[in-house]
Amino acid sequence: MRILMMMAVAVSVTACSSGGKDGTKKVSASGTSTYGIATDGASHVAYILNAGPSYGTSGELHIADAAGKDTKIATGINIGTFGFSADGKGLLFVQQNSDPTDANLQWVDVTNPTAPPKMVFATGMQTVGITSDPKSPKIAAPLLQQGFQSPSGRFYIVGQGATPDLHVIDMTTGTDVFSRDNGAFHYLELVLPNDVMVFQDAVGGNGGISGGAGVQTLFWTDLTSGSPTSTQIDERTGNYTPTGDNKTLVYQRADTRELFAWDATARPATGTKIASDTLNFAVGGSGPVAYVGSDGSFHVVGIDGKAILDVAAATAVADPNSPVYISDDGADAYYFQHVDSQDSQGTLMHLSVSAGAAPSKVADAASLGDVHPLPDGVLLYLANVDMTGATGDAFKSARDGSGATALGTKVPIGFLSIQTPPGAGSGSAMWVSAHLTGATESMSQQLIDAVRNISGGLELTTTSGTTMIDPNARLGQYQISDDFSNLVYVGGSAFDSTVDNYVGALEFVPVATPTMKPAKPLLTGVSEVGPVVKRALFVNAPKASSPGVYFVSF
Amino acid sequence: MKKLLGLVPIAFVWLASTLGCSGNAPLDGRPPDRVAAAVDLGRLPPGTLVDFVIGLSPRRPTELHKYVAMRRSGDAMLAPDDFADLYAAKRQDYARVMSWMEQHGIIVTRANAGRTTVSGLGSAGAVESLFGVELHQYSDAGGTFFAASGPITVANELVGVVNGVVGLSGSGNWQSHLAWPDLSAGAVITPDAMHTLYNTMTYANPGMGETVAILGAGLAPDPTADVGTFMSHYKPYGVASAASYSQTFLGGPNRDDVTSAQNEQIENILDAEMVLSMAPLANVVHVLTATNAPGLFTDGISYIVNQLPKAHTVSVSYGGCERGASQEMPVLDTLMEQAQAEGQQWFFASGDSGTDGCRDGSGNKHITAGWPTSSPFVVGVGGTMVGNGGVEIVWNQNTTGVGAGGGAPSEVFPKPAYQMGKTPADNARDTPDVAALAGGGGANIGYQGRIVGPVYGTSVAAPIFAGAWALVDQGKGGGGITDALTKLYAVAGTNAFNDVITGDNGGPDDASAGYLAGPGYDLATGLGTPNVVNLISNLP
Repeated sequence: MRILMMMAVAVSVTACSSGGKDGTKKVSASGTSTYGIATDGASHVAYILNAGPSYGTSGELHIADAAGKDTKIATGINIGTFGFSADGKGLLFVQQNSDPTDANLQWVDVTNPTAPPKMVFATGMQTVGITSDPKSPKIAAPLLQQGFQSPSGRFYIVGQGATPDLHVIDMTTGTDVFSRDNGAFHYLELVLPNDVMVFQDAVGGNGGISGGAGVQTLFWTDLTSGSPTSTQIDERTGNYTPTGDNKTLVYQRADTRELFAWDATARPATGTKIASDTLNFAVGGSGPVAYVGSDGSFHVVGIDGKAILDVAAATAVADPNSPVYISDDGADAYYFQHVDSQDSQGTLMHLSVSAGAAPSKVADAASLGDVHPLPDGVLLYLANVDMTGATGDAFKSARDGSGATALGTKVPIGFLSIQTPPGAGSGSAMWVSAHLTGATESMSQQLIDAVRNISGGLELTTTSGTTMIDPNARLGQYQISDDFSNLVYVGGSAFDSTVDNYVGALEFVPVATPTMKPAKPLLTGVSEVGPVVKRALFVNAPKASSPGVYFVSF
Repeated sequence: MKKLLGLVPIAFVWLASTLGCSGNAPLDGRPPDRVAAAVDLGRLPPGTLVDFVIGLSPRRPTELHKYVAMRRSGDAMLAPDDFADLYAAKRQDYARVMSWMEQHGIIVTRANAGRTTVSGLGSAGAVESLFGVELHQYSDAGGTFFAASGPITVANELVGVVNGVVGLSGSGNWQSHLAWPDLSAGAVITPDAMHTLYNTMTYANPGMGETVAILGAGLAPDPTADVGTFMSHYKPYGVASAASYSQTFLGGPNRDDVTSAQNEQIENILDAEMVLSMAPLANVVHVLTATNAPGLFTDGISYIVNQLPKAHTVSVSYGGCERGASQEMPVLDTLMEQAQAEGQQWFFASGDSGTDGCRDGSGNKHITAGWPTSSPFVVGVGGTMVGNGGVEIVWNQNTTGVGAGGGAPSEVFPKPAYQMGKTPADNARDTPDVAALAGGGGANIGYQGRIVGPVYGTSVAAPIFAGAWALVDQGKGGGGITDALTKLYAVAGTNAFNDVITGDNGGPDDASAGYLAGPGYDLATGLGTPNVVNLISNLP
């Protein structure tokens, strides 16, 4: 690997304020274009300046705050390759090295952004081709393609090196706090909200052919402990997932298909077996556990392993590829028959979680990934999925599927997302679903921010009903505010080839009264929308009258 | 077999009155992608003749997909007109599209009985009028082309009926990225060589009564230009054409990008031709999934296990490594277990990365097994090549950057009962189980009317062994062999196998020597390569 040629630079620049109207303030530096904003909420924004208008472009990485203080951090940076810690104190970014197949990882102290960035890894970060052609020019891979951020927003779990090895970076300090080599990142990792990480790695098998066979082993470690150490839970494990309250980890042995429950608070030496002969499974807010048996049967057991519901294979006829869902309160469970996983659909079945319950069909051609049992007795799901698994029609019904009413049509598969207030958890009775309807996806063109090129009408569904918000919207261009009061979105969004993205007007509507739309948009020429915090957000407005990144309050 | 729909007479119904004058509606809302970055050279001369094709939306698409997915090998083909009645655009809508075209001076050059497309020819001016768009000439790095300058529109009444127009976007022809030399049958791995090594030279009616399934993804082989060329050139056992080679598509047409799909097509061609090399009289059913995403190992496998139980042999040349795959293991193992119970045996290529199935990078000494090869319910097929004296040795061509036969102990699965006492005492499921020719001179394939090559890898070996297994099943009565792995290991060390005792499978990433071949089972070539006649007589 060669040493990077493009040196990071830090030049402090105070952006010229546009003196914006309607609570808008331009915060970016002067330049030809701005792309790819990333934020820590509503305090800082990072963006690319002076890049070309197409996917794969690179430019200057800048950080700006809401007051418009802008600092140039580095050059030769690709869109999507940088991100803030949740507390806004640190920023990680990936920079391609002189060897175009290699990249480095650097950390910026956001409290002192003019200080030189700290090199975390000089080499070993991934690059990707701009197209699938092996001869395509390479760019640095997006940050969230190389790893993932812990739920707390403090740690970045990343694979580094050719193997790749597992590293955990504290994003507030840029410190590598935990690592395992010999290709450990290849396995599954899970970080709980309290920053306890559960992960797999091989024990043995790393000494060549004389080193003997390795055994895949499940470990836990507390990333906040100062010097995290690994403690074994079990071996030869497959899938694992926590309960909604994160107090119990349910994991599966890949070799025996047995399910185990492990107390994630007391952290005993091993888990307790709760079921045998399992395939896919799901857990409720604090249990129970629903699973499909290898013979096509369906079962629900408590976290203590006590049987709650057993449906024989002849009655359940569960598909071995069926995903499983269980409501947060554990009262209703769902599985699929006749799964067509290539096209993301199957026959959705419902079961009340009580002894002797019989399954009933909810819908045919239902999306495998869009089943949402909600706490107010409501089920949201997609059915009538098209033959290629691209879109389906949204329905709202009772938990058992009765009384179904149609919502939007042609909703993108996987994007009937439900949001609940922060801290309220999935069991909250307050929920909203902002989603596209009548959507189409262009597979032939990659947008500059690499978000899937799906556009359609923007629809808002709440407990009160469904409202069409805007007939022309794009995936990724809408946000529910943190206080749950407003939907902020780019309306009238249309493709603009000069910025290789969809551009429209920044609008908002109250969630409670979505038909009440302000007469004037907050800003025009907007293509990217950051999260909304305390009725403020950063946006990228490359086609505004004064193009750039704006801080908008409303 | 795929059939081409010919030009059929169409009973014309004049339905001009049903086409109102309310104008056009956009089809997809924006101009062709290629136009945005091209230099506009001005309007296409109005007299220029333009060919194009209009696509019509299928009716009842969900039902159609279910129908396709549920097709069984041997089911009667659905005639095009039956297809149209069941799933295509309504007869009235089809006539309205043609009427609309003719009103604008377009000649309908081809209609089809399946009512899926209408082909048209017209002047640029007529086409512009039809689609409410200007046609311009453009220039970009790919050359000069013409295309619609804005969004294509169709009559409002046809929105939902018409689902696309081909020919006005400036898109280029698909180009093959293959640059293989035409070696004209110069490779070592010929059908005759296989028959000699695996003792099938005198096998009567090889493959008759057997069904062999092959699972692949992406673009399909051409039964004539690819498979037909191979068979007519090599004539395995004197058979100049495949007795029965059919294709079943799951998930619709290919959805992989062009580069991936073309590579997959070569893989698919190779798989079919190697199976037919060993068992040319078998009924070979090629199941092709629309993508090589995880659906490959779910829909495709589930389809073959549940819908093609008559296929007692299945060959798969796709796979990965164990690390990160443990989430899918219980599901796949269950399906494979079901297959075992049905007497259906799956053969997976063990990979081309020697002792490191994950390709973890150069210089390390990681030992990782391939997946699904390490499943205790499938047969993993490693690789050999022909050494001095015509004897098979371990396939290892790392020094030339080609690869080596995959083989290593599993990190996930403990040693299954059938390997107890037969493989190293490592408390692990050891791979591969068996081996077949994979490299050396490589194999040639029939491809677009020519014989080209060479092709290397356990992708060659797996379909060869699967073809041999079909002969074993045929020799054992053709009823399917349940729990085949237990039976294979029961005859370990006998003349049922050609024991491979020379070479190793080190690398390409592992700096150490890799696993050495030796008498009996080894982690380079498993039990060895097949002696079909002896397998038939020895197998319990």
